[in-house]
Amino acid sequence: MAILATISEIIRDILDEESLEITEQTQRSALEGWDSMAQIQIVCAIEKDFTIKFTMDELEQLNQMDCVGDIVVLVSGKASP
Amino acid sequence: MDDNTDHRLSYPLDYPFIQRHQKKLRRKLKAGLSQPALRVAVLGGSTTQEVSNYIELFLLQAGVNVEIFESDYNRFYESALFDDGTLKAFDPQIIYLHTSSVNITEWPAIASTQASIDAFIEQFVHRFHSVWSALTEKFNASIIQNNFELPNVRPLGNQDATQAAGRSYITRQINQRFAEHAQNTSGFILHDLNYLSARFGLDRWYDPAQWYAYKFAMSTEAFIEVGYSVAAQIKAAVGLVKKVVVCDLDNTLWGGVIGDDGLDGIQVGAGNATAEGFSDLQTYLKALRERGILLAVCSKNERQNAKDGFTHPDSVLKLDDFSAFQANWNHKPGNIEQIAKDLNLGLAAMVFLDDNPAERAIVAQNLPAVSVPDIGADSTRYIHFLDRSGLFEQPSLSQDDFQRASMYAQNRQRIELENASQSYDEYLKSLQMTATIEPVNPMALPRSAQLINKTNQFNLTGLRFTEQEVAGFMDSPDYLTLYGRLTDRFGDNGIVSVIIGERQGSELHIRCWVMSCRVFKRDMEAAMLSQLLLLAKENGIDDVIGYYVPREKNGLVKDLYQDSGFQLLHCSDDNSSQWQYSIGSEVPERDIPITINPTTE
Repeated sequence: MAILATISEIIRDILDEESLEITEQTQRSALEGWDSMAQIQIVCAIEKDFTIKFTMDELEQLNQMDCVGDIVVLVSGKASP
Repeated sequence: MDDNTDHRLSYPLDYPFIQRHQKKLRRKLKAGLSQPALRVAVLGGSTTQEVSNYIELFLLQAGVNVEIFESDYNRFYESALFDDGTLKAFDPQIIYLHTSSVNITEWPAIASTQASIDAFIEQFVHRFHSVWSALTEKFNASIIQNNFELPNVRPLGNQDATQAAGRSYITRQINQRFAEHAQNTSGFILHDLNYLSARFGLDRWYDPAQWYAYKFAMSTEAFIEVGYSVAAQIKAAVGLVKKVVVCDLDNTLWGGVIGDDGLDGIQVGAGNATAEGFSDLQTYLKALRERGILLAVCSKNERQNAKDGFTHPDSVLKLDDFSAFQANWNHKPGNIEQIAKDLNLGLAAMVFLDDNPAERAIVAQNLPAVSVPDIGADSTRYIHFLDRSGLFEQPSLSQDDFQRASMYAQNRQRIELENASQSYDEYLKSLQMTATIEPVNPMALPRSAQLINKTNQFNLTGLRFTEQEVAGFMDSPDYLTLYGRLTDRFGDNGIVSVIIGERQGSELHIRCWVMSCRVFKRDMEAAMLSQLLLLAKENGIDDVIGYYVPREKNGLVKDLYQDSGFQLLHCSDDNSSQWQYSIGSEVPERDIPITINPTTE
C-alpha cells in the first residue's frame, strides 16, 4: 500500500491535480494530462523517490502499461523492502 | 511564493522538488503576472519540452511573464531557414537554440587528413552560421546559442584531446569558432554549455537511456541547470540585471570583528587558510567592480572602525573601491534603501552579501526586490555561491561597464564642486560639459540597447527593445534614432541617453526616450531634445509626438514634455499622456550649458 500511496502522490504532483483519486485500477489512458512527457517525469520521480533505476526494457514495459496497479507491481519487485 | 520555495529554486537547485512540482509552480507563478508575455522561441536539436518548462519556470520566478514556442523535434535548422510561417507568426523576441553535442553526428574518421577535418569543421560551423543569419534577417530577436559540451566517451582516450580527429579536440575548435562569432556579433549571446556541463560533471550530464528512449540530450537534472542558466541570460537580455553588491564586513569581507579584534586581529591576506579565503573573496568582488558592478558597504559597526578595516596592508579592496558606505547601528534594510538612494538605483539592482542568516532574512523579508543569495556557513565557499547564483549575467559588456566604478567616483567630485558653487547654474557652467548627440551607430549600439533595457526612472514609455530590434531601427528609414554621450571636466559619463522615434508620414512618434540617472539635472534632456528637433526638421517632420506612460518608477519624467514646451493632446484615465510639438512653432530659446557636437580638429 505504501508504494501505491507514494506513486499516487507523485502522479498528483506531476499532473498538478491535487485532489485526484488514484487506485490500482486507475488507467493512464483516462487521464488527460498524463501524456508522454508526464510519463517521463513520473518515471523519473519514481526512480528518485524509490532510489531505483529502470532498465531500458522496464522503461518500455512502463510505457505499455495502462493500469497504476501494474506500475506498483513493477516497482515492488525492484524497490528494497 | 513563500521563502522556502524561492530557496529551492535558487542555487543550489533542489532537483527532485523542482522536477515534481514544476507544473504547479508554473501555474501559480503565472497566475500572479499580468504584463504582456515575453515571446521566447526554443529551437531544438533534441527534445525541448523539459528545458522549455524550466526556462519558463525560472523566468516566471523572476517576475517575467513568458510565452514559449517550441520547434518540432530536431528541426532547428529547418525552422530557421524554411519556416512554414508558425515561427513568423509567433514573432519571437528571444530565440534559444537548444543544440548540444548530440547534434555533432558523423564525426570524421580517425585516419582523416588534416584538410578533410578542417573541411568538416568549416562545414559544420557554416551550417550554424546560416541558421543565425536566417534568424537575424527575419527577426529582431536576441539569439542565445549553446556551444558544445565535451563528448561522453573518447575512443582515443587522452589522445582524443590532441589528435586532429579527436572528438574533444574538434569540439574545442568548434567552440572557439562560436566564441569568435559572439565576439563580433551584437545581439548574439553565447550560452556556455561546455562550462555548465563541466561543473555539473559529464558523468551526471549524460544519460544514454534517456537519450535512446526520449531523445533527451542530457539528464533530467541537467535540464534544470540549463533552464536556470539560460533563464539567467534571458533576464539579463530584457534588462533585469544587478548593478551593486552590498557587503557586510565582519566575517563577510574579513574574518573576525574589527570592533573587538582591532586592525591587526582581523583575518585577511596570506596569514592562514581562513585569511586567504577572505582575500580571494575580495579579489572576486574587485573583479566584479572592474566589469561594472558597483560595491557598497552595509555594516553594523562604528564608521571609523569599518573604514579602518580597508587600511589593512593585505586588504585587496580599498576604501575608494566602494561607491556607497553605510556603517552604523541602524537596521540593514533602511541602510540598503539609503545606499539605493545615494547611488540613484533601484532596490532590484542590489545584491546583499552577509554571512549572518538572520541579517539575510531581515533584508529578504523587508526588501523583497533585493537579491539575497544564501552563501552558506563556510567562508571559503562564499565566492562559490555568489558565482553560481547567475545574478551577474549580462548580454554584452561595453567599455562603459569597465569604466562605471570610476564614473561614480567622478560623481563624488562633482558633488563636492556643486557644494562649493554659488548657484546651480554656475555649477553646471563650471562643469564644462560637452555632448556628442547623433544617430545610433554600430559602435554605440550595445550600450544604447543596454540603456533602453536597464533604465527605469528617466524612461518615458517603459518600452524595452533588444539589441537586434535597435539595430533594426538604426537601419530603417521609418525610424530616427539618437544617442547622447556627455563629457565634463571630471571625465566621460559615456552614452547616457537614447531616443527612438518612429516616422508616420510627417509625424515623428517618440517610442522610447531613456536617460541614465547618472546625469539627472544636467540639462542633458534639453540637449537631446534640441538635437531631436533639428534631426526631425532635416527629415521633413512637421510634428513630434511624445508619450508618457506611467510605470513603477518613472514619475520623475511625468511633466517632461510639458516642461519642454509640448502641447497636451490627450490624457487617459491611467494618467498616460500624449504630447505634441510642431516644428517651427516659436519656443523661447533655452540656454543649455552643454556644448553640443563640438567640431574636432
